[in-house]
Amino acid sequence: MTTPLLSVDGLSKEFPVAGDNWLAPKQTLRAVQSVSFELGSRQTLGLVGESGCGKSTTGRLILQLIEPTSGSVRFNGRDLATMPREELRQLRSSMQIIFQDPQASLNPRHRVEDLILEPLYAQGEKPSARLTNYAGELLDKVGLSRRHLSRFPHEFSGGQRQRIGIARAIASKPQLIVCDEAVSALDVSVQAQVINLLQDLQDELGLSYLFIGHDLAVVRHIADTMAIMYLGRIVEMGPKREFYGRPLHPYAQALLGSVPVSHPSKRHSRKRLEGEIPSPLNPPTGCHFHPRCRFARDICKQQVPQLRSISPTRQAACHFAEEIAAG
Amino acid sequence: MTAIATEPSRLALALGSTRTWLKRLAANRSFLLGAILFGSICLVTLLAPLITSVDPNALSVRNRFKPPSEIYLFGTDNLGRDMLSRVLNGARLSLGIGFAVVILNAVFGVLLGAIAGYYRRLDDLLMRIADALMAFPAVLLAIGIAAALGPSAATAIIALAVVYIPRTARVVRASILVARELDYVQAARAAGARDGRILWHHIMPNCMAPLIVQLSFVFAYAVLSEAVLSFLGLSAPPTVPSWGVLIAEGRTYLREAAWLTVIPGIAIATTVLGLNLLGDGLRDVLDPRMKVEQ
Amino acid sequence: MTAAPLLSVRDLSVSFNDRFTAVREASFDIHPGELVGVVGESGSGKSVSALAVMGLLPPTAKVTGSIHFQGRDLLALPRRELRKLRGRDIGIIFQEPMTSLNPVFTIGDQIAEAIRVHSPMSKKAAWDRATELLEQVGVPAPRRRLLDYPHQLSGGLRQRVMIAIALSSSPKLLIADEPTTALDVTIQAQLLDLLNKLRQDFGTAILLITHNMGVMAEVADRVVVMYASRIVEQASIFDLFDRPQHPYTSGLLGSTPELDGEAHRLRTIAGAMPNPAELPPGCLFAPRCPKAVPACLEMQPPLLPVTPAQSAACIRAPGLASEGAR
Ligand SMILES: Nc1ncnc2c1ncn2[C@@H]1O[C@H](COP(=O)(O)OP(=O)(O)OP(=O)(O)O)[C@@H](O)[C@H]1O
Ligand SMILES: Nc1ncnc2c1ncn2[C@@H]1O[C@H](COP(=O)(O)OP(=O)(O)O)[C@@H](O)[C@H]1O
Ligand code: SF4
Ligand code: SF4
Ligand SMILES: [Mg+2]
Ligand SMILES: [Mg+2]
Repeated sequence: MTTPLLSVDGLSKEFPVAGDNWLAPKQTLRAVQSVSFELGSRQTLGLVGESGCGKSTTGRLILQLIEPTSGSVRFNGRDLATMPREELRQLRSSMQIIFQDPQASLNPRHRVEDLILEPLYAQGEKPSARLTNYAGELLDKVGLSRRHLSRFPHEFSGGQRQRIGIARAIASKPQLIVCDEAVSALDVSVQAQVINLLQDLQDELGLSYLFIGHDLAVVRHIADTMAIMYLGRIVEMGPKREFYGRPLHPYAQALLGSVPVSHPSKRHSRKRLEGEIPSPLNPPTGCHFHPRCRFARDICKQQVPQLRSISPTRQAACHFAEEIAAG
Repeated sequence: MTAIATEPSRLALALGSTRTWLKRLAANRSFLLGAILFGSICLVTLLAPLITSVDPNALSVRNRFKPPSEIYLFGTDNLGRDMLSRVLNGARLSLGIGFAVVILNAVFGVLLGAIAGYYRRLDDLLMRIADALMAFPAVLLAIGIAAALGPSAATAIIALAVVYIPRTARVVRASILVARELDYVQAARAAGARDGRILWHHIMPNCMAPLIVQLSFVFAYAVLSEAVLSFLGLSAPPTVPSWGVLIAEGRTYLREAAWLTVIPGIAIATTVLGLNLLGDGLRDVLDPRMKVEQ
Repeated sequence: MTAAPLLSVRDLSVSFNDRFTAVREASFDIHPGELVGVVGESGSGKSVSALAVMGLLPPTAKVTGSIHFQGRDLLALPRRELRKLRGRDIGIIFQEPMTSLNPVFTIGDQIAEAIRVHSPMSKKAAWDRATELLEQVGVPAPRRRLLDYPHQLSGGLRQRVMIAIALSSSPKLLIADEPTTALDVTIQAQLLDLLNKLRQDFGTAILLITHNMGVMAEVADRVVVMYASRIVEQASIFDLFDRPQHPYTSGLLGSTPELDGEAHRLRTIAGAMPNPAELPPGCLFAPRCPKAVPACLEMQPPLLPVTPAQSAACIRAPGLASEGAR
């Protein structure tokens, strides 16, 4: 077995949050709970779940932008948490991030050239004619043009800004890019362009993506492996084809059933999920999903189902995954 | 409505380029009026040697209590000293002390604000100390510190700096706390930028607007508070009279020679008003958010 | 649909400050109980059209054309009359439910207030009615919820409250501007079901604005497609999906990610929507259109019927060609 590019083991993050009033005791918000997965070279892992389930926190933990409460992140086999500070700083050029809001992710005071070369400047390179030329090449690569080098971000449309964000992410020739809802804010026609661009860049540059999203239809077009999160935990993980063919976990099924149909003739062909996602401050006992689950039984209220293998390639965190899989 | 949200925010535009700033400032009445008032005070102060060469401490017993006239533009005091010369020279001290306080505020406000807001080290401790200092009325605290240190210009500067630095540091800390979570700051961190670069390139520019606004108010309060300190004899010695000293000296003769207090009073009021208008205008243009919050 | 339309918009144009036209010559009808969807990219003029119908545009907006609601021209109506009509016969819900609710009053106060504006009744009766409304829009434990403040509710619940307020006067027309865009898919699905239910139970006509073709497929009877300030196609939902006439509609359908079939590479529309302030000459879509021919640059094609129930603004619409017209 070769070491995977990224290997995440038992990653957890707890945030202390103030109580309702200043007399109330401090509470703990368990944003991410024992998340483990591996991501190979040139692979894309789609991480999907509803807002607040811990996707972004997972992404930021992997990039060491926040400190995990427990668990480890290994990049090319090396534990990032125990790595000397300076070494981690240099390694950062191999891991980049693309954000959801193309407006907020670009410093409005900087010109496009400086924006996309930022990762190189961050590593100590100095502006030069060679770098300017390189920035031009990057713009060409993401479907913009050299003419745009000296413009400011507010002179671009949302889709173009997202391309600038992508150019910045690939500038330092990274191996891993965390795409945190990278296409969620874009109009469909532009969204399709950006998804295709990300795929082309993956082929060309051998990138791996952690593709965070909330729209299963979008993620299907780019992911190889799927991971579904609910209230801080991964509840199902497996290859894309098998997952979309028939999800194992009741939540994953419901999520898939909520995606709008692709043709009016398919209306009313699915089951709705009732209720709302509970507060992560005070999650349900046992299986977090039990108050909304059609299959819930007594054991679900008491015992936390572990993420376990259901088939050689698929994992699910449900006490009755086999039964549900059997139909 | 979505149309408003999709439009580039006023803030982003305002920060987009220096030219739009300048244009907006030029169109802001409050800023213009403030700039004119404060600018002319500064100009007159700087040009004082050209306006009058009379020694501010030269006594002239024959010319006591001369009301303002063509010869003595601002009149003379109980010892026959030329008030024009005294007010202009006093301006140097008053504005000088104010300026020194502003510089100290800028340096230490940014330093402490950055330590607390960016590095989050000593955040709790620093902010508790700041809160404690801010719990006292500013002027009372300054009086207490100055009284403890003994009267001198340096005393006034230190006392006023101690009083206002916590306020400035809080402003800086608050904007750093917001700025450090911005996506592009996170992106720079993810790319491995060093703290210095992140602070200088990405975070500080976001703090400049609130900082400049804050400093213009600090300047105004410093001038005002220094007047109070020198009125109480807690600032520079009366040989170099500041505006507060002039008012203190003139107070005894308020009935007979009102100009002795009124003229330095107007000088102080004009400076403070000018700086406040300036600050308001800057805030409108540079930092529309602050206006909404207040 | 032969009955008189509930809402009939003709040649609606909206410009701001005489410089910038956000909507051009839009015409469409909504019949009682019908759910009409307006779909298009950001900035194409969807919200401005809706606001024009509601009479909620800022004074800088210049509105021309006509908007008839139950036979009365809203543009000619005095402000007071219009205000009465709005809220009573036409309800509206916006994308961001937080900013549409007042943070300092309870949900109950706000719904009861809305009820009492249109039908005077005792406070107690209004609260009872509010409870009923919340129940109708699927809020669990409605009595207790009435005492909550907006910030205590999730986005989905807030949107339900907005719908309850809009329904308080039993409007004949409900305008919903991207009511689900800010919500999770599971909540979106619930809300779409709710809109469907309202239509069935009360016969409320709904104008639903969205940029999501899937949402249209889910609930719409008829769809209006907008592009850069113009309506480029109008069709029943099935015609639209099966026989799109305008290349932009086909492009939108092709670039919508789907759940079934092969996860093929997405088709895209090249380029981006032009800034409505600097429109290209001729057909607005020409710079991005895969079917464009030189004739397209000569003039903006008008919205022409291709069949009695479908119209498109394209000189090369397949429906037109097959008839051998033009
Ligand atoms: N009050 C206004 N003054 C000037 N221009 C406006 C105003 N309101 C809207 N616009 C402009 O009109 C155009 C159409 O806006 P509209 O809000 O209808 O778009 P939309 O189709 O609803 O887009 P979205 O999907 O982003 O909601 C946009 O370019 C917008 O910037
Ligand atoms: N800095 C923080 N302090 C406290 N809570 C946080 C912080 N960041 C995230 N959270 C909480 O952690 C949970 C997961 O957040 P996030 O990862 O952003 O969700 P997602 O990206 O899946 O929408 C949410 O409940 C969120 O409110
Ligand atoms: S463990 Fe129980 S409650 Fe949880 S998903 Fe499985 S069946 Fe449902
Ligand atoms: S008129 Fe021409 S350019 Fe316009 S949509 Fe039709 S084919 Fe394309
Ligand atoms: Mg997120
Ligand atoms: Mg809109």
